[in-house]
Parts: sequence; structure tokens; C-alpha cells
Amino acid sequence: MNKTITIDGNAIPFEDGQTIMEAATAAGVYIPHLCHHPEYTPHGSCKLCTVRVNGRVCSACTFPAAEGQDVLNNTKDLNDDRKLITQMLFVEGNHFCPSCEKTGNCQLQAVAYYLNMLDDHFPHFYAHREMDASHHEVMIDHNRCIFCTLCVRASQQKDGKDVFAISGRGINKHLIVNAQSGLLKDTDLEASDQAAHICPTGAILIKRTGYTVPIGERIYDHKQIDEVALAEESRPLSKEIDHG
Amino acid sequence: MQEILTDCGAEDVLGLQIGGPSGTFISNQEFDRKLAFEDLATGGSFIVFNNSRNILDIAHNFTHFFAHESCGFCTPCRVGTSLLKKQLDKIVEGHGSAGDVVALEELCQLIKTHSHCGLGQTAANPVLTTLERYPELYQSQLKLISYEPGFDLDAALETARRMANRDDAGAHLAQIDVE
Amino acid sequence: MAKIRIATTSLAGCFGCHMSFLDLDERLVALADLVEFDRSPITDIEHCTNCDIGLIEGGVCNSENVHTLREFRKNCKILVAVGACAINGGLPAMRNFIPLEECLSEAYLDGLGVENPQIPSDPELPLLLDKVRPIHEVVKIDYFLPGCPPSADVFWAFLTDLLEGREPSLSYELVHYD
Repeated sequence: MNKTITIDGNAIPFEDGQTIMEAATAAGVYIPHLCHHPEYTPHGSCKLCTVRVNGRVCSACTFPAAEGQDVLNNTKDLNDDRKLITQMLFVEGNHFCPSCEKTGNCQLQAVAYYLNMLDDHFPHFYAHREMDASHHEVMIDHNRCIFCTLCVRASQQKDGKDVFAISGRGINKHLIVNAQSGLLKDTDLEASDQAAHICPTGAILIKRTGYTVPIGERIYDHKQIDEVALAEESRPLSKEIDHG
Repeated sequence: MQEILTDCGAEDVLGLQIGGPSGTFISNQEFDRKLAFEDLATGGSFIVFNNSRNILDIAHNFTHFFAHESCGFCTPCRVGTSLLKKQLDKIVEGHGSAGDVVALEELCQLIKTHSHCGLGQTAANPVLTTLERYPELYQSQLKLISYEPGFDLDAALETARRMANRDDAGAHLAQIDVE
Repeated sequence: MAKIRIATTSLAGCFGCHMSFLDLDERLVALADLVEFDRSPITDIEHCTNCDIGLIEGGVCNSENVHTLREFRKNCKILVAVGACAINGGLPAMRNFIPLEECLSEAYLDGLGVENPQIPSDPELPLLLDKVRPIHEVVKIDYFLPGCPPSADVFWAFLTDLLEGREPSLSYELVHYD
């Protein structure tokens, strides 16, 4: 007999070793997330996937599924808090969607749409962040980095390199690259690396590829992120870069 | 608590911070409470404040400390502790208005509930434990208007004023809308 | 029944939100039966009287914007932030990362092609704030309509909800930040 947990009252089967996120995704249940990607070691830092497990607050992407778990996911309270956490990300960085190549294909934006976020709620930091356009094929716009570390993980775990890291702490935390000069051009990053395509926001972009898809045909123009994420993440792990 | 205070000769006590900045602030009405896991837990830290101290200054100082101490791993603590610092600054500096204490508490609960580790989960305690005991202290900081900006409007004109070499009435802004 | 009075203005914006509002096209005729316009670029009325709804496009970049915003807040029962700039400062706020001193010097003192360099100092001119701010950081805002610009359908959904006494809500297709 299959082992199950319940999510919002529905029985969800799981296998030993699966996280709540993995069990939910396999069963077609969307739990909002930004730093989670099924192909990489979970990180549990964005806190968008916060669920209540038997009353306790947990990150679904890191918490192992186990018999007897009664999980709350799609509730008004949790989604209200997820919206506030998303608003924190929007005021922390400088997310000017109309001027960003990633708009329409951005997961940060799409999660905000999914949560019906209409404003930024908090005062803006307007933090001064740099751009690194030194690399001939790939650019970093630090204004849009949300510190999900997917590029860090992708570079280490998929590309067999060590191009990215997070440095500093607290509100001054920032993405760095592995070069004496601190410039992307002096790393061994190539445009074909998974790390160059994994960014959920517009922080890491491939040059000369922006605005090729017309408005109305972009990933999240008509489909919500729950539908897109489940379609991409519930299928067997891919070996290819699937979007960028 | 009273026993410890008597033993160490503490007089004129305003309140105690038990368990360090992330612990609990208790008022001088609660000295019958006990040091215990079931009541006031502490690894040993025990701070005594006398009546010359200002409760809001204490909460303000600890809140700045936590914003500085946050490692930045998770969103609620990384961004939240800095937002909490801003929001408390706004109130303590006298720019708060209706709704700002409610917003302060909302932020505290969000950081407490969703932070990854103990630092974030307790970073709002200085505000929460003092707000619970002295709500009127926080409320009395607020102006009786519906809204005031959290930044200094007139100071925001300083650079432009200096460069245009102006100091006429039109070169200044009142912080709140005067009739 | 008295018509609902609406005032509109553009602060540090591009009037794109107003243009999008005009995209209501023939629905403007239906709207005109229910509402009348007070202060607005549409009417050329210069100051607000008592209004039911104020629609604000653009962020706050100078002292005049602050005065205008306060006049709207004082006179409008419901104040609405319309568009990306009103909500987060938008593209004008991208100057926030360049010190104002540098902006003014580049434009009026030592930039390319500047003749007779001087910082404009006529008291008639509003002074620039050091940073462009979203309007909710200056006055209290009741509703937010995101978009750059919000589509005509957003204005229509929002206004018809309000006029018919419903709590305004925007469906997925109507929420966008670009």
C-alpha cells in the first residue's frame, strides 16, 4: 500500500526520501517557490514554499514527507504571507519590470501575479547595485538578484565549474563571481552552461536574445506559474536546457 | 526575579531583559515570575534596566542589532529585519501615524513565523515583548493624522536647493500636509 | 443620481496611463453617463474640488508632485495609484542610483552640448527630490492598478467594480507589471 500525506485535505502519495515539494509536484499540486528547482539540491531560503505541517511552519522544498503529515498549502493565510515575502523581494532589489528583458518570462513576476500582488507594500530600499556586462555572451544585472543560489548550484552541480557564489551577509549579501578581477569575463562561464540559463529573474541574461518573443506569447502571458511549473517539474528530470 | 534583584541590590527597576536581546522583556509588574524553561528561559543573560532608561530606545537598539546580525540566508529575516529597523525608526523618530504600529506588528509576526533559524524567529522579540507590555508607549509616538512619509521630505530637497542656490518658501516642503 | 466625480493627474509619469485610459474608446461614452471629470488633463481644470475617486499616474520626483498629491489626497475619497511609476517609482526611479548632483551637473553644467551652463533657479520651478518615490511613500493610497500602462480593461474592471459597489479585484490576465 502506498504511503500518503494529506495536502489541503487531499491524499498525496509519497515515496521515502521525497520532500513535501517533490511529493506535491508529482501529484500535480503546486506549492509556490523560487529558490527550488527539482534538478538541484534544495536550498530552502526564499521561503515562498512555506507550508504548515501538523501546524508547524516548514519549507516544503526541504522538509521530508512522512506518514501522518497533514499539510496546509493553498490557504489564504499562507498565500497572504507569501505575497508579503514576495513584496520583500521586490523592495529589496530594483525590479523595474518594464525595462527588463525577462518580463513575461520571469518567475519572480509570475509568482507575484499568481499571488495577485498589486503593489510593493513596503518602502523601497533603492539599493545601489551594479551591472556586469564584461562577458561577451552573458550579463549580470545585480539589481534583479534574489539570492536563490540556483546559478551557484547549477554551476557546481551541472556544469562542473564554480563560477558563482554568495558573499557578504544580511541586507548587504550579494552575488559574486569566481575571478580575481570580480568580472564575469574572467571566469570560465560559457553561454551554454546551465548556470547561465537557470536564473528565475532577469539577473543573469544571455546577451542579444532579449525581446524575441512578442507580448502575448511569453511564458506567463496567459498561463499561470502553477500550470507552467507543474508541466516542467513533474516530468522526469531533463538533461537539456529547457528555457532561457 | 525579585529574589535575584534583591540579592544583587537592584533598585528602581524599570524592567528586565531575560535571555538576551532575543529573549523576553518583562516589566516591573512581573517580578514574581521564575527563571525556568517553563517560564523565563535563559542561558544566563539577565539585563536589568532602571527607570532612567527608555523602553523604546532599548527595543530600537536591539532591533538594529538584529538587522546587523542577520546572515541574509532567508528572505523574511534578511529583508524583514531591515524593514523592521526602518519601521521602528519611523515610529521612534516621531514620523509614525495611524496604522504604523499595526504595520510594525504585522512585520514582526511575518519575520517570527517564516524565518529559517532562531535568529530571525526571535529578532522581533524586543518589539513584540515591549509592545505587548507598553502598547501606549508606541501609540503615543504616533501623530494624529492618517499618514506621514517615512523619509524627510525637506531634506530630500537639500541637494537641489543648494545647487539652485535657493532658499525661498517654494524651495521647502513641510513634512505633513498643513492646511 | 449625482454622477461620480473623478480627478486624474500625471506626476513623474509619461501620460501613457492616461493614453491607456482613453483606450476605453466607446466605453468612455458609457462611462460618461456615470461619471464626470474634475481636475484632469482631460478637462484642463487646474484644481480639485471634492471628488470620489482620484487616479494618480507617475511617481513623486519633485516638490510640485508632493503638493499635487496632497491636494488629491485631501479632495478624493478614494485615491488610486495607477501604473508602475506610481507604484514603485518606475523608470524615472532608475535615476535613484545616480546622485542628484551628478544628474543636474550632467544636464545643466558639464554635459555634452550644454551652452551657458547654469542650474535653473527660477522660484517658479519645482525642485527635484533626491530620489523618485512611489506615491504610497508620501500619502496613503487606497488601491493600486499595476501595469506599464495598465490596460483599458484594467480601468474598466476597476471603475465598474467601484461604481457597482463591489470590492475591486483584477483577474490574472489583467495583472501585469509591464
